[in-house]
Amino acid sequence: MAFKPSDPVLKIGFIGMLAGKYQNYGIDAKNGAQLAVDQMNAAGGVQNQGTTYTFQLDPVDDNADATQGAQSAQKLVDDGVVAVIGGIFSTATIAESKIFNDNGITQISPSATNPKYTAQGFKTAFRVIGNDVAQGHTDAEFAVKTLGCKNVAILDDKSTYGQGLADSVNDAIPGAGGKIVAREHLDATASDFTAQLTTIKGKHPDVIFYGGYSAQAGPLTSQARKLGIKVPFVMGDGCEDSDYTKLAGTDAEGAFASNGGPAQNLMTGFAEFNTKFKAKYSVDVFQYAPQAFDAANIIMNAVKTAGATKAAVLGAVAATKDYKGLVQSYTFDSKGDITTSIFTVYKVESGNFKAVKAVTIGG
Amino acid sequence: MQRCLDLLTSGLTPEGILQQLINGVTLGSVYALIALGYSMVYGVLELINFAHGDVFMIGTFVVLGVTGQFGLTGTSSLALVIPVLLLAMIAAMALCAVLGFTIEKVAYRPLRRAPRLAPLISAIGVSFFLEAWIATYVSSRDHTLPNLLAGDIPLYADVTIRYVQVLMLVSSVVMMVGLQQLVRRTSLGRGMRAVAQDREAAELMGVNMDRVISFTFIIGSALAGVAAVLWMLNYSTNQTIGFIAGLKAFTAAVIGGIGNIPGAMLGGFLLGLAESLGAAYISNASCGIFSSAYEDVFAFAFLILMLVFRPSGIMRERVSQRA
Amino acid sequence: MSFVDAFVAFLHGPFGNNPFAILAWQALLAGAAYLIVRLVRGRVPRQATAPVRLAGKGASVVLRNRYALLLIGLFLPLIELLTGGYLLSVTYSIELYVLLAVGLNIVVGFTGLLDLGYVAFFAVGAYVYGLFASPQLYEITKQTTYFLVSQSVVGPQPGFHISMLVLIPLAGAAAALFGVLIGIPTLRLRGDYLAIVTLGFGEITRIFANNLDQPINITNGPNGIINIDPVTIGSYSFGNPANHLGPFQIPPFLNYYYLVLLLILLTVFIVSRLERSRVGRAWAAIREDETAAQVAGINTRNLKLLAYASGGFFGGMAGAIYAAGQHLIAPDSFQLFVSILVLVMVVAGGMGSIPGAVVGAIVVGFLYFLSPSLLYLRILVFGGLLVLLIIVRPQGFLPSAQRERELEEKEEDPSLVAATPGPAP
Repeated sequence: MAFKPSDPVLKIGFIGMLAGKYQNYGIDAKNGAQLAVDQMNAAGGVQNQGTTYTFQLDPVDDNADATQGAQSAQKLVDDGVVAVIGGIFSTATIAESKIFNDNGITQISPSATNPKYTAQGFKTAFRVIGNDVAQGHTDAEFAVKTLGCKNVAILDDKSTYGQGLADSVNDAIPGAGGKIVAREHLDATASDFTAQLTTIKGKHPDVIFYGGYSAQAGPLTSQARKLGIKVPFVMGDGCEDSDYTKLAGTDAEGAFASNGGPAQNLMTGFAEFNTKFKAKYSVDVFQYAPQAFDAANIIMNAVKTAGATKAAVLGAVAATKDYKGLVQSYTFDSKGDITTSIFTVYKVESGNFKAVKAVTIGG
Repeated sequence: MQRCLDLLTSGLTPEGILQQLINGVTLGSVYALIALGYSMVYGVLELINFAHGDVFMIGTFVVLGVTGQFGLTGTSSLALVIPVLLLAMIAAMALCAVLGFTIEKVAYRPLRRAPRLAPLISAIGVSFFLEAWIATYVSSRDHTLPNLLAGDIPLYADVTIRYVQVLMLVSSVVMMVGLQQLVRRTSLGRGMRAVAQDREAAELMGVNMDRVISFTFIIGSALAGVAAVLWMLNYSTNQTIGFIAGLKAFTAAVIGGIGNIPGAMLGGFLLGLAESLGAAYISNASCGIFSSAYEDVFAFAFLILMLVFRPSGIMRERVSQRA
Repeated sequence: MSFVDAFVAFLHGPFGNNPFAILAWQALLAGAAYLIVRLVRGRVPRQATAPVRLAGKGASVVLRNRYALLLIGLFLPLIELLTGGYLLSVTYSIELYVLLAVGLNIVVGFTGLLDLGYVAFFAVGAYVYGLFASPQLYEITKQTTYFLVSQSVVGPQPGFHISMLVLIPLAGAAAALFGVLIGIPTLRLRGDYLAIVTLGFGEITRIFANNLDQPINITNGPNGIINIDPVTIGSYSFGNPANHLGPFQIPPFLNYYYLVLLLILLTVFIVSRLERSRVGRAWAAIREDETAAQVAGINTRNLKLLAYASGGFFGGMAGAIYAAGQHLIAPDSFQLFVSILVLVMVVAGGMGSIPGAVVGAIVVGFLYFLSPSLLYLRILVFGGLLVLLIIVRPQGFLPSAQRERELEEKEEDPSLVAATPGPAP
C-alpha cells in the first residue's frame, strides 16, 4: 500500500477476543473504538504541524489466549500501528504487553483489571478502567456499609479475573468492618455449584460475593435460590450484563453488580454515543465500548498534540492529564493506571441493571 | 493441629450433610443415564464412545430449542409445561438417536477391523467436530431454562427435595430397569449379549451384528436425550458440557463395572456423591490444603484408582482383558 | 482472507442461519462428496492400499532431501522477516509443536500407547522453567517460611534465575520423571483405558497448576507466573529487542527460532537413533502385540516407562522454551485441546514416522495458527479431518516404511498380525 505523504492514514491496533465464548466483550470494545475512529475521520482527522492525519482501526483476534495473543500482537507490530487498544482479558493482555513494550508501542486496555498488568514496569502499558483492587474495595464497602451485611461469603471461579477480584474483596472486607464467614471456589467448567452453595448456606452469611463471569453467575444464582439461600449476591463487572439477567431469569432480581465508570445516564454525551452506536451496529452497548471509545480518542488526541511516531504518541499518552472522555476524566499515573477511578453499583430490577450507587476512588 | 481438628468438625451439620447427599444424588442420576450409553457401547463394541457426551450436549440444545418455541416461563401452567417437556424429551431422544446411529455408521463402522487405537481417535475427532459445530452454527454461549416444575417437599429442618430432583431420580431408575429388561428379555437384547461375549461366534450363529450395534447406539443415545431434559431442568448448558459430563459418566460406568447396566447406575450415584461430598468437605478434611476448586479432580482420581486397583468395577460382570 | 471468507460462506450454505438448514446443506455436501468418490474410485476406499507405496516414498523423499530442508529451515525466518515479525512468531510456535509432535510420536507412534494428556509434560516443563527463572520462588518466601530462598541470587530481580543450559534439560528431566510417575500406575492398562487415564492426568495437572496458589503460593494460580527470564547466554539475552548484528536488528523470536531449530535437530537425531535401536524395535513389538512381546522376553514394563519418559523429556523441553519466550505462563495455556492438536499432527503425518510428525506439525500448525478468527471452525475442520484420515488414510501422509508394511499385512491377512514379531532386523 502506498502512502501519499499529503494525507497519511495512521493505523491504530485493536486486540481482543473477537470469536468465542466471551466474544461479546471483544466485539463491543472493538465497535466502540471503531466508532471513535469513524467520527474522527468524518470530522476531517487531526492536524499536527501542518499534516492532516486520518485513522484506520486494525483489529486482530487473540482468542483471550497468551500464545495467540503474542502472535497477534506481533501482527499489529508488523502492520505498523502507532498504538493499540486492548487486550480485553488480563492474562492475554499481560502476554501481549511484553511485545508492545519491546516495540515501544502504546497499549491502552479498556478492560483488563488485573493489577499485575501495569505493575510489570512497562512504560507502554495503560488502562482506562480502575483495577481490581479499587473495584474490590468498592464492592466490599458496598456490601458491608451500604447493605449493612456484616457476614460475607466469598466465592470465585478460579479465573485470573474472578479470583483476583475476590481476593481484593477478601482483603477489603475487614477494613470495611465485615467478617468473612466462608471462602469457596468453583470450577468455571462445572455446571453444578450446589456443593459450594450448601457449604456457604451452612455458614449463614448476610451476603454472597461472587468473583467471575455471568456465564456461571447466572446458573449459580438460580441454584442458590433453589437451595433456599435468600441473601443478596454482590458481583463485579464480569456479571453486570444482559447475559446474567437472561441466565438467572427471575432469580436475578435484587442482585448487585459493580462496574467501572459512571452509570450510562450520567455520562455526558452517552445518549448521542448510544444512538450512533445502535445505528451503526444494531446492538446495544454491551460493556466496554465507551472505554474503548475513550481509549481511541486518547490515542488520536496524542497524535494531535505530539505527532505520528510511536514515541511521540507514547509520550503524549503518558502525559494525558484531565482528558475529558465520554466515561470520565482521565489522568494516568506513572504506572499507567488512571488516578481517579469511578465505579457504579447496579441492582437488578425487573430484569435490568439499574444504578444504585456511584463511588469515586482517588483523585 | 488444633486448628485442623476444629476445621474438620466445624462444617459438619446434619442439615449440611443431608443437603449434600441430595445434591450428589441429583447430579449422579444424570451421570447414571449418560453412563448407561457408555456402558452399553463398551459392552458390545469395546469402544469408548468419546462422542457420547457430545450427543448428550446436542440433546440439551434440542430441549432448549423446543421449549423456546413454546415460550415457557417460570410462571407457565403445568398444563403447558408437562406436554412441552414431554415433546422436548421425545425430540431430544429422536435427534440423539439419529445422531448416535449416524456417528456409528460414519465414524466407527469402517474401522471395525482397524488397529485398536483407530476408532478411539475417530471418536475424539467426532467429539471435537460436534462441539465446534454447535459453537459455530448454534451458539457458543451459556443457556438455561426458566425454573419449571417449581416446588419442593420438606425433609428435615430447612432441607427440602425439589420435585425436579425427585423426577430426575425416578426417571433414571425407571430407564435403568427398562433397559435391563430389554437386554434380558428381548431378542435384540440377546443379540447384544451375544455380540458382547464373542463377536465372531455371534455372527456365525446368525446374529446380525451391524443391526445389533446400530440399535445399541440408538438406545444409548436416546437415553442421553432423556438425560438432556433432566439436565436442563436443573443446570445450564453450553457446547463444552458434553465432554466433561461424558468423562464423568464414563468414570461412573467404570466404577460400576463397564458393560454392567445396574453397575453404571450405581457408579453414577457414587460419583455424584463423591463430587458433592468431596467439594463440600475436602477443605475441612485436608486442613485447608485443598479447596472446593478441586471438584473435577475427584472424578479423575476416582477413575484412576478404580482402573488401577479394580479395573472390572464394583459389580464385576465379566473379566475384561483390556484393563 | 477472501479465500477463508469464501470457505466459511461455502460451509455455511445458502439457506440462512437456521442450524437445521446448515445441517441439511452440509449433509448434501457430504453426500455429493461421497458420490463423487464412489464414481471415481468404483467403491468407497476403506483403507487405501495402492497409494501406500507412494506415501512411503513421500517419507523417503523427505529423508533424502533433509539437507535441502535444513537449508530452508535455516533461511526461512530471514525471508519471513522481510514481511515483519508475525510469520516468524507463528513459525516459532509451530516449531514448539514440532518438538511436541516428535515427542508424542514416541509414545503413540512407536509404542502404541495413546496418550491424551501429553500437554501435562509441556506444562511441567514450562512450570519448572517458570519457577526457577523468575521472581516467583522469592514471592513464596515473602509469604511463608517453608522455603529459604535468599535475595543474593544472580540477576536483577530476586528469586532463582538459573541458566537455561541447566534449566532446559532440568525441565525435560522433571517432565520425564513425571512421565514415569504417570506410567507406573497405568502399566497394566491397555488401549482406550490408558487413553482416558492419561487424559485425566493431563486435566489434573492443569487443575493443580490453577489451584496451587493455596495454601502456599507455588504456581500463582490462574494468574500464572509472569516476568519469566528470557534465555540468556553469557551477556546475550534472547529476549532483548535491541540486539543488533551489524546494522540488522535481531528480534527475540529469531533467537528462539534458531534455539528451537537446534533442539529439533538434536531431538530428531536422538529419536531416529532410538527408533532403530533395540529399544525402538522392542517398542514396535509392544505396539503390535504386547503379550507376544512379553513372551518374547521383552521387559515391557521398563520399555513402556522409557517411552513415557522420553516422550515426556522432549515435551518438557518444549515447555521450558515456551515459558522463556512467552514471558508469562498460565494454566489456561495447557488445556486438553493442546494434547488433541498434537495428536492430530502425529496422526496426519503418520503415526510412528518421524518425518511424518515433523511435516504433520508444520502443516496442521500453520492451518491452526494462521486462522485465529476461525476459532471454532478450525476445530470443526480438524475434528472432521481426524475422522476422515483415520478411516481413509490411517497411515497418515508420510508413514514410516515399517508401519506401512504392517498396515498392508493387516489388510491382507489379519492372522499375520500376531505373528509379526516386529521389524525385520
